[in-house]
Amino acid sequence: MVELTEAEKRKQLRERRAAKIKNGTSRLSKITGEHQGLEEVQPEEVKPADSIPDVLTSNTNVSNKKNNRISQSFDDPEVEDIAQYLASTRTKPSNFKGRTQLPHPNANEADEFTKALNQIIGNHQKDHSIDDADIPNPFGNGNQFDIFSQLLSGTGATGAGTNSLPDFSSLLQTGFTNGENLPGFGGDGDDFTYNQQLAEYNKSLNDKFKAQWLLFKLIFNFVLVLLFKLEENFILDSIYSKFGTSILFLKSFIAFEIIFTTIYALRLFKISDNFYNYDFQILTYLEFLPPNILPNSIKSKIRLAIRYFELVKFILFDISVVIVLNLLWNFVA
Amino acid sequence: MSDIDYELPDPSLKSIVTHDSLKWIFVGGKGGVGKTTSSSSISIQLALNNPDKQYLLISTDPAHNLSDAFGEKFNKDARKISGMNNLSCMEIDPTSTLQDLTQSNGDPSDPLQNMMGDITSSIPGIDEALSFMEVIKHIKKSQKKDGESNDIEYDTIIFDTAPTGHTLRFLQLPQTFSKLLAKFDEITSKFGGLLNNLGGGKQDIYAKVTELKELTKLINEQFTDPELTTFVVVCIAEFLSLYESERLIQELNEYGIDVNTIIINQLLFTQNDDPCKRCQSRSKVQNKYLDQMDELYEDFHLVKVPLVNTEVRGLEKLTKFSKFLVNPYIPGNSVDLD
Repeated sequence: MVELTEAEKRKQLRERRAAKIKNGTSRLSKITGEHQGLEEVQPEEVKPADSIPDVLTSNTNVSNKKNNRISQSFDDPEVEDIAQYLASTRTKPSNFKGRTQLPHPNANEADEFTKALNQIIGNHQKDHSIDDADIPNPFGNGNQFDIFSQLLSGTGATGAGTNSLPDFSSLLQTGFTNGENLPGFGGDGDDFTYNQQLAEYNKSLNDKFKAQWLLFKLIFNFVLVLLFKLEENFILDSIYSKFGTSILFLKSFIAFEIIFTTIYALRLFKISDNFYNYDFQILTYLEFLPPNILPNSIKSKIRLAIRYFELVKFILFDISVVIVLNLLWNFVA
Repeated sequence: MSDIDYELPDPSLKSIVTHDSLKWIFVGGKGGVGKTTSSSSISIQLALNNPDKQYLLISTDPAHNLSDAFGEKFNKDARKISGMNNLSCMEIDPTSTLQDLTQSNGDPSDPLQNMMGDITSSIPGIDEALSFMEVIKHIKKSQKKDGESNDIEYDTIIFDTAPTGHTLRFLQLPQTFSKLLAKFDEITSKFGGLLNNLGGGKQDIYAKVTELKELTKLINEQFTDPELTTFVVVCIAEFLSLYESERLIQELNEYGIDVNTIIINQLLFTQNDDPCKRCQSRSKVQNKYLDQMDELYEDFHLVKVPLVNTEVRGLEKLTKFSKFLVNPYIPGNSVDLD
């Protein structure tokens, strides 16, 4: 027998260990006592599928409690025919807990949708104390919710005057970018209320986003100023280099300002003027000036300038944060 | 070689003590099983058996115990143990290491700098990262030509590791860093010039990253080379310890780190005629798990160490205790270290 060197013996042992450790799950199971031994199951010992339940139930080590699960304590529900729900328009099944009634199977698609909307939104109509008969309907069908059904069925907006609703395709666009479809003051009807509420809601959302954005910029600038002031290396000095001079800070600040301003600008330019609080009443007054006095081209340029000024305000905010932090630093240090 | 000719591995640490090429020895396991005592004992035996070599024992456990084990104070700078010429010890302290780093690169009196040091030292994983830095430092030192450095170059470094989870995270660092640096490499190859400008032009970031990448790759290779690195698992004969040890071994196997020795500590070896019923009962439980271990780990060096009659503290007692690692204990023999 050839004598093995120490290195060869170690290698042999390693191979044996590696082969056994591969069977990791059964080793752990052996420790926890779920299996009797470490022997691998030979292919001929695998029992056919229909006897597997026998194997499981005959395993005395498996706790009986596992079979008495809550999910297995109840019988399957009775099979019910869905047609019984569709056959009756007004009656509900005894165990049906739905909040709305299902539409008549013979109604056309638009009517079904209209009725469903009536049930869902009907209370709002009552809350506003508006009688259906008093609402001027541009579509002439006597029911404001027919607007939706007609939009969905593709009839589009055919109303008269400046108060007509835009068609569905324009609703999908970026919004009332030129303000021409907005109802002015003195606009009548529920359309104006709805649009006003929509505008207020969107304004609040955008205000919230603006506040979050400002907070993020504040924290970011704070961290940036601290980093440059401390001039320290991080965990591994071979990776991070020293930060340093004011020129370097200026470069970094400008780079990040460009990036963040661009991101915000991309968002801002997609939002309708009516859906954003610009802190300028001029936008509202612009609507009152007829094109004879102030051409539309100038109006749009004014709107554009206001938007850019909004971005400038953010930059001024960041600069002021940096100045204040530097002053505080000099005071403390 | 057939199974008939197969002989069981020697139930002692002699294979490690006589293994000349070993460079990194990790000693780890569940908390409270005797890792510090075992790692100290292994270091002592290595130092005694190889007086011409230099050994370094590093504690990577944030709750350091090496100072308590040897009865003398160690810190982040390696220092020889009193009474041993070729065995040094150090305890990595993230707070002071980071303070040194910050103070060497800035104004030491800056209060905010100290604050940042405190914050950084409490980052999860910082201990493992600093231990890894230590490894890198030693690798770099060994790569330097003779005469370039006045520091001691250690032949073998023994790590007294933190309990299992932290150690696994530490051992994952080379692979994690490799992936991270590969991504960073892609970025620097495209934007290296811009990054250098942002860095003020003082250091070549790309060169630094490349150097670190090479070092990390080298460490990865060394840690997965069984001739250079081994992991000694310490456990006791109880269910929780055994279960965790098995999972540790499986994880280490996946990382490619060699494990060939397991120290089973605090064994009672109660004799049948022992009047102590509690000892009998505990011994029975231990024997059950010992039988399981004998079956599970028949290809490992299973070192069975008795529970001694006293605390193992101080160089003298540790030296006596370390003999149990190289000379298998025979039940019935004395366990008196006094």
